[in-house]
Amino acid sequence: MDFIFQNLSVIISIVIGVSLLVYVFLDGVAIGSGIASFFMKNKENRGMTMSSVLPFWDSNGTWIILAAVLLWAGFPKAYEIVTSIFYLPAVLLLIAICVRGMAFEFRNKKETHMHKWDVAYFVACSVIAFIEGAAAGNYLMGFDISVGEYNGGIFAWFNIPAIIAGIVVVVGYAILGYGWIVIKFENDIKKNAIELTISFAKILLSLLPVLLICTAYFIPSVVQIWKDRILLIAPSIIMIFASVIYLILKAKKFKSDMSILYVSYLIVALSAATLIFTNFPYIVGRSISIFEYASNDYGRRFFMYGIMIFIPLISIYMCKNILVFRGKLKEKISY
Amino acid sequence: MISALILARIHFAVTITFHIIFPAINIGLSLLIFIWEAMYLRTGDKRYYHMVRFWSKIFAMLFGMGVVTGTMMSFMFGLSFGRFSYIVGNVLGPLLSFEVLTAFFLEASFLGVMLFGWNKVGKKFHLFATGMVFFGTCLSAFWIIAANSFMQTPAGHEFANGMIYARDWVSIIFSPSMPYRLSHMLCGSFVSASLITLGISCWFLMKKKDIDVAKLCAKFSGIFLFITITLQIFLGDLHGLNTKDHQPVKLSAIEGHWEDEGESAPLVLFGIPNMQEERNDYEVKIPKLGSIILTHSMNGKITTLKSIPKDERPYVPIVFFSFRIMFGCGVVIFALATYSLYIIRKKKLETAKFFHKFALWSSPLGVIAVISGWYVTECGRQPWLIQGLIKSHEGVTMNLNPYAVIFAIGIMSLIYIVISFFLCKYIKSTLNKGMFHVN
Repeated sequence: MDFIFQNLSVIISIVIGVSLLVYVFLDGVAIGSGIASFFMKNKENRGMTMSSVLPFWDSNGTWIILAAVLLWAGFPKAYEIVTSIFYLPAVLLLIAICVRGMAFEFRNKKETHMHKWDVAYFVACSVIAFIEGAAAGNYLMGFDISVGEYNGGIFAWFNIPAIIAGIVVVVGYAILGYGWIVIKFENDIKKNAIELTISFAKILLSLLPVLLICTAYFIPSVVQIWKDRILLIAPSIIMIFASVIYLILKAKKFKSDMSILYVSYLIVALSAATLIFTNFPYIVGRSISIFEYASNDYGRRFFMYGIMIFIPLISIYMCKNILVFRGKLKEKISY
Repeated sequence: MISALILARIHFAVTITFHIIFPAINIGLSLLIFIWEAMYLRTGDKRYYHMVRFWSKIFAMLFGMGVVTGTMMSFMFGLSFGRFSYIVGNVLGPLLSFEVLTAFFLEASFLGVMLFGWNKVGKKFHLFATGMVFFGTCLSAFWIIAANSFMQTPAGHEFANGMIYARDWVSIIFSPSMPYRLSHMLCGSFVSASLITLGISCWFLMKKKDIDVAKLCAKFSGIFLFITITLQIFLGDLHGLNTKDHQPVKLSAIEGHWEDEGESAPLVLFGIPNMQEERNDYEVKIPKLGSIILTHSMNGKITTLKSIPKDERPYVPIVFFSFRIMFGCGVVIFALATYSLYIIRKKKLETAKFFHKFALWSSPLGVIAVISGWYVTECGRQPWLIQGLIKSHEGVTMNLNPYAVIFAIGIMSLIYIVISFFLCKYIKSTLNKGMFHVN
């Protein structure tokens, strides 16, 4: 117990990081399937794909809300600065989340509107993925923060490395989405999804070097950090490339339906690791570390108890939820 | 140019006004669905099953919209009131973390089972899931109202170095106004939901569709409405007395009470509060009644607005009129509830045409009352963001770009209009499909 309370900053950062990772694992799949299904041959499959994530999307999205409020509770200063930097993208993200939610609830209500909702759903999912990617890109870049205040304009977040990172995440989420489709469906849909996985993995493979070069070119400070931490960074990046190539070469030969998703998860985890290896111990940009600007310990102890009690409980009913709706999807579900 | 503060407040108000519609209905509706499902399991009466399935469809849409507009809320604190988020992060951050940890995951996880799990889990587990969804919505209300009540009547904290520190969590969570606000809001939600279920089942009776199910639904909703609105009036009175003790200025603004006249306070029925001249224009008032209602004695006094410095008064007209709208809605709802008891007793549910119309047109009144009630309590707290500690202009986001806020208000309003349009459209098409659940 004492160990936990003495290292609250680190532990809360880990919990925030883990909830973001769980968010990408769960909702990244759901958002990705929205992007992925748009490129599939048979248009009716879009509805099926959407059905397959219908019981999950509410609870998936809750993980990013958890990360947001934990950031607020643990690092109030960081929350203040992050929301002021991402004012516009946050507004756009929220709009996209709204449109996606509407598509979920309304798509199957009327036959004639389905196509419009499909397009709206695809656009919303892509925007969400793009903005999340751009946020990650900005996190990598660092921000113009001096004396604890943010000084950049409202468009400062919209820079070249962030745009490329955004596109990379759209493609990455799509691959996660195909991984899910392979698990949930059989025959033609599955075959189609595997082919598309390979195409998207090829796109990802060509985008990754661009992202790396851009980051190095536009943010010289990152190069210095990477040089200093080469033993951590180099293996991660090499393994990311290796996993993508493995996916391209082997996707057709996997025996288990779960394999594509697992490899994609590995890529996500490695990318997250690269980000953390680059930025540790900073939480916003390269000026605010998790050890400064933390909230007071009495406040954090209180919700630390909450985390210790409820995260295991949440995991239990999440697993129950996944078990109830496991297996291949044969027909569209509705209420 | 309008100040960034006003824009930030408008932005926040637009977002939260639209959001509160959904919880206000969902808390009550999930309770009703839970009761009906329990009745179905106990009695085996298929009509309850149809009611559960029918209202679950509407609940699903409303819940989905509640989630997405709620996601907006979790970012809004930082977007509009970044400085405030920092100052009060030690207290509100943990409270909202608890809301997410205890409530959001609970409702979101069990919602999947509740809506899509009919043929996948046993009946008892399904009932349990429905109950958990209701319990989750209540927990969510508990935490967010604890947070709001801390802003109204802060307790258990310490203010130092420009930041608020938590000292005693029990006092923070159960701050003086919290139990009253929570029970008033929960009961308000029960009223709002049963008004809607009553109104819509009367629509079915009017159209002579699915009469068996609609009649049972109307009967149940009518009785439930009567119980909850009676309780609500009682709770509202308690909440008012609590406001008198802890936020006297808000109460004076509600009453439009500028100065004492003689021994007792009158009750101002109507008037137009005039901020410049510090009086009400076109005032209609009843002598002594204010004292009787507010202090439960003939000669009790309440704080006068004139005794408060001008820059610490709320904008009186909003508080004054919002309160009267809420109160008016309450009166109409009570009349409807009493009338419905009469109709139910006389067994005229199928034929009472006027009653059908009355109930149908009254269905949004609960939500309107909830929204105006929140306007009373939020605008009545101004100019404070946290009563007595931080003023609103001290909490607004630093270097907020006014054009960005205007853009945000515009695009969010637009999306809300779009949501409302489709929501109405698809609720209508759900109604047209009828209350019977096929298969």
